[in-house]
Amino acid sequence: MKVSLSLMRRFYGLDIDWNIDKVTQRIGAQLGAIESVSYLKPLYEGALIVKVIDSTPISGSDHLSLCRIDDNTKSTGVERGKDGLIQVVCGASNVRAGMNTVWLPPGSIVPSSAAQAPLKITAKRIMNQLSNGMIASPRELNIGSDHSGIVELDDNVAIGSVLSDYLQLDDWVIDIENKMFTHRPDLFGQLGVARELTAIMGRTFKSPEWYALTNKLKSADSGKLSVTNQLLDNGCPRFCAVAIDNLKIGPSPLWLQSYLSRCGINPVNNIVDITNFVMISTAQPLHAYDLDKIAAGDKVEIVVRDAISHERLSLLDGTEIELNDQDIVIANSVRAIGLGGVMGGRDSLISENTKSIVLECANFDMYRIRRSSMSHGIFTEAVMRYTKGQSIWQCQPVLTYAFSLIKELCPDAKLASEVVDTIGQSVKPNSEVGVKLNKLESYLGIKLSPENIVALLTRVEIPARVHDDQLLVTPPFWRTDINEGVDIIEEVARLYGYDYLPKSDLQRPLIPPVPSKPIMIRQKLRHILAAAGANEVLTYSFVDSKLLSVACQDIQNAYQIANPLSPELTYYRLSLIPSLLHKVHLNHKAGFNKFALFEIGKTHQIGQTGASGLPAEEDHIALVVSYERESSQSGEAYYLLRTYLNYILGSLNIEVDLKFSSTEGIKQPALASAALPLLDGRSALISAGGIALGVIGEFSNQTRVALKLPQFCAGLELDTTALVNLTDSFSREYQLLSRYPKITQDLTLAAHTNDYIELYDKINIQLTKLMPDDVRYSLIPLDAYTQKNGSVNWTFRIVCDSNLRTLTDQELALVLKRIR
Amino acid sequence: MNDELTAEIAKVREQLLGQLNQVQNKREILRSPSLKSLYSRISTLDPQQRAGFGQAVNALKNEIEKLIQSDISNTAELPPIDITAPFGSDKASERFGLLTADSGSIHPLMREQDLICEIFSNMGFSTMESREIDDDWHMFGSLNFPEGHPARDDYDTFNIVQTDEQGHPLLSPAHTSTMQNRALQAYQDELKHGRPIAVILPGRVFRHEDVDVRHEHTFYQFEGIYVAEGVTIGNLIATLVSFLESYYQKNVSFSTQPFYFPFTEPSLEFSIGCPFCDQQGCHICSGSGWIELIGCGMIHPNVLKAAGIDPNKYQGFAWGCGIDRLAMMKYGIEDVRLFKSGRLEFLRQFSPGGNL
Repeated sequence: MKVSLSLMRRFYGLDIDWNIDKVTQRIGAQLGAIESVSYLKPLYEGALIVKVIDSTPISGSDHLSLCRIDDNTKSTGVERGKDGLIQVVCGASNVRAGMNTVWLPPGSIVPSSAAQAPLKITAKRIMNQLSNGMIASPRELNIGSDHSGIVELDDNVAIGSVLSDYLQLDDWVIDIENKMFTHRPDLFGQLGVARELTAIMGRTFKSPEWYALTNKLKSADSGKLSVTNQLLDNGCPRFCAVAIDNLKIGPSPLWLQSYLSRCGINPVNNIVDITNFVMISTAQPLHAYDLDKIAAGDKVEIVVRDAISHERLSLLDGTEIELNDQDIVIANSVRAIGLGGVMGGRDSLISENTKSIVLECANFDMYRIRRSSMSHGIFTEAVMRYTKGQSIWQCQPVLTYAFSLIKELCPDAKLASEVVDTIGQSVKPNSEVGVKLNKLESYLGIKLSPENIVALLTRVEIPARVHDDQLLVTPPFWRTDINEGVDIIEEVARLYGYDYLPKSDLQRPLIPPVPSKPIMIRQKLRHILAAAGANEVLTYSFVDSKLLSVACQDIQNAYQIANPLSPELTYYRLSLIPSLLHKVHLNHKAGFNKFALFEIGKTHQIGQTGASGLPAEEDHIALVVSYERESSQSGEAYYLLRTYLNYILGSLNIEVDLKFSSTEGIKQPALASAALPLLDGRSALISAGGIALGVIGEFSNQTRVALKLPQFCAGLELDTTALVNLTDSFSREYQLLSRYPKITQDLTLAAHTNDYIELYDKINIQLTKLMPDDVRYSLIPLDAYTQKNGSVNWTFRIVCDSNLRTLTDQELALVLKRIR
Repeated sequence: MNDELTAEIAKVREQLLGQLNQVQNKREILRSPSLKSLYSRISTLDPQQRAGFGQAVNALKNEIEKLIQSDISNTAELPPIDITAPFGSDKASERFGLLTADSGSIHPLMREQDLICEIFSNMGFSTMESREIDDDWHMFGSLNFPEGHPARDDYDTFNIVQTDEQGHPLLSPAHTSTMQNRALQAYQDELKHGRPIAVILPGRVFRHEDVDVRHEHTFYQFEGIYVAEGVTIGNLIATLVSFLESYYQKNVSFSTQPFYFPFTEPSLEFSIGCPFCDQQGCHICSGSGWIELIGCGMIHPNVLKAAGIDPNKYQGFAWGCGIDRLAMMKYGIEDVRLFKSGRLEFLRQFSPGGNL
């Protein structure tokens, strides 16, 4: 939202200390963050108002003229003729002797070029004629949109006067972030900002006299205009309009064009400019229709109604849209003439032939305007203001103000109808709102005197009083944001200044928070894996159908984004491993041979619902190892991940007998999804004590080829919730150290193919049976050798000790001999 | 199609079939130069030849593609192994140990997140993690955003096709505030015991926003809430300052600007004096000396009510802050996309051993 200090001073008597640093500091602290500040005056350094004395076409050129201009000898250091006139070459078609215009002397910068690539004007020869500086168009001067010719000024301007004085360009334009004004529709107008600025600079603001509820147009009684508002209760709670005739359409005076330009609005013509100027002043959008284009005979019948589906409308900007039944249209008896609150129709736009207008000043439901704007993708200045919920009460005073400006620019203009005003029954004026003084105090952290509080609110014209322990305020008609106590608190705190509130540390009982175990375990996992050389990655929660399909996962199980940014980001992932695999090839390509990647994240499966009825979010950790130049012919990648698994559990202090079984028929949907890219015969479901922990394995050809994975590549995905539960029940216990020496012996036994665990369990059971009660032992796999017949010889190391005595080798040998 | 062209295709076919047995990555064959040159040949032929030749080239490509596909599916998968064993039993098999600590790393965003949670934990805040799929009620409704309110437009939200069990729409949360209502409910018993609700809520959030060096559709935030009796605006500011001074390990200057959020009133934007240049102006603060860091405010009474807390008795504050931005500024990371890139070049800069 751009505001002009000069505009606010000229129209709203903004009377503040002009120190811009102080002004911007206060705005930042008490109104909203500033996006940019620009000082206009330096842009117009040297620009003078001059008279063109004569203008002769230059022979050999089809458009250039040689002009002599009179600057009242105000400019210095410029070459002049004997008569004191300055010679300039001009290419504009409207240049002519006797006109008053604006001249930029050599050495000045073209104002419109200043922001991007400053263009410095020189004295140079054009078509062999010396041209001193240039005569400028409104657009070149940033004071209008016209570039078809040079500026034309009134006959009565003072020749040689400084342009920046004439147009009050000694001005600061401050752009304040819109976002803070979301609940402050009044601040989308210069008037509203002037009020706030006055208050936060420590003074009391007074609205102009015309900005009063009682101000209404004294209308002509002609019956020419009628309005049927069908949407009083659901879309258009107020619709005011009046017909005005005897108009003469033409460009606006420069001051008006210039103020509009400063505030980011393109000047069009006097009537459109007035509606825009009134809008940027009061935040109330207006619209003017060419009366003759919408009239039926000598009567105009306006209908405010819901659009009919598929009804078409050609808009001001030339686009044609198909309306839907959510849109509000302004129509005459025949057709739609405007998309209410969004944009007017093209066929009733104000042209140079327009003689009469219908001027609309209405209020629309912010929700419906938003829906229309979104569904048609149209974002206008009116939409921006209506979607903040403008005050319904300002329509008549604003209409009055607009007519007074029209009278100023078109003195012959007169009202041609009565002011038709339709207003909904349910609309109620703002009523008094209260807040307990002690509640206010508890927010502020200080006690303000009732007088002080009332004075603060009075600065922004909010009537306030204190009654018993309550502060009572009556929000003025332009305020829509004060509806409950806390809104008053905001207003007082802001006007007082957040900077001046005492900052105090919280006083609270010293109780340590109970740590969240899942979060703690996940933090631990990061450190554990980083310490084992693995790199944590974070990948998107969203994947594409291709990744799901190369991971052999079922797209039907994946939540789908209705409005994805791109096809790659359409589905919620079912497991983490595919996302990690997606990062494998690019890292090998970048020259990393060996790495382990891990991610801790959430997975979702359609059909899995959590306690709250929302989709269950399962916390997983996945780890992928990939070695580019190693073979995994004998499952080396798989066994490396097993080593990681043991390490993870060991680091978490979990001691548990793991079971590795086929991944077929896994009951947990999330783990079943995770197992799908894994290769049968080289993958396993990991469980402990009947609880499924996760899956581990190498990848099927389909996944490997599609993702360009090396042969030595395997993945592990664990359910971290299951891990967390294990830390509760399976903590490793400390064992007393024995005072007696340990003894160690190896044992080799043959197992059938793929029966390691059976062998291990068999030995373990026998050891438990055979070992004397005082003996503690551990059984450690040491080595393996595959025989020609396919059976495998496994060598185990048995380490024993006792707390009571020294064990002998013979004793252990006897035990081991009995194991078979 | 004349014989010459037929022979040309046949020659390429033979060549490609030969490659099928040699090349390791079979899909490369489809990108072979000889196949490409057949395609570029099409436009040079005279019109009578063109159609027939084009069809023949396409047929060849389809044939090769089928062969590759069946080759992949027929390639013998690696033989089964003993999945119950701790290591391979093959004589040739090699045993690999864990990688060394010097190449390992924790993701910088998680490093920051854990640090932030630790500081707040030291200040007495409990931690609760945010969700990745949520419903409209938590994302908007419980936070005082009326249905269809234009303020919702500030949160470019991803919507989800599926609904929850009751048929309510689901979405990808666009802010960690989506957890406020849950946290207020989960901890409201604290109030009965005369203790405050003090919770920090880190998590992943999603915005429908095109990605560039400064913008990500997936990023991390942390939300904080504090509710007790008589909590002041000054408490909010003092708490944020305490956190930031611990985080940056130095004194920080700060300023606040009025702001608007439907779920806080008053709402503020909290900026700090740039800690990297001591407000002299640098590239991190774009020369302004200030960094807008945290959106915050006093929790709106309607938000407390929605969680079953009496706003007449209790009040409090909430804030939200982006973690990606904190990490980018702290480490001088120039491109937000690197965080989700999975590139080891980036990640291993956070290893004890540095890059490589």
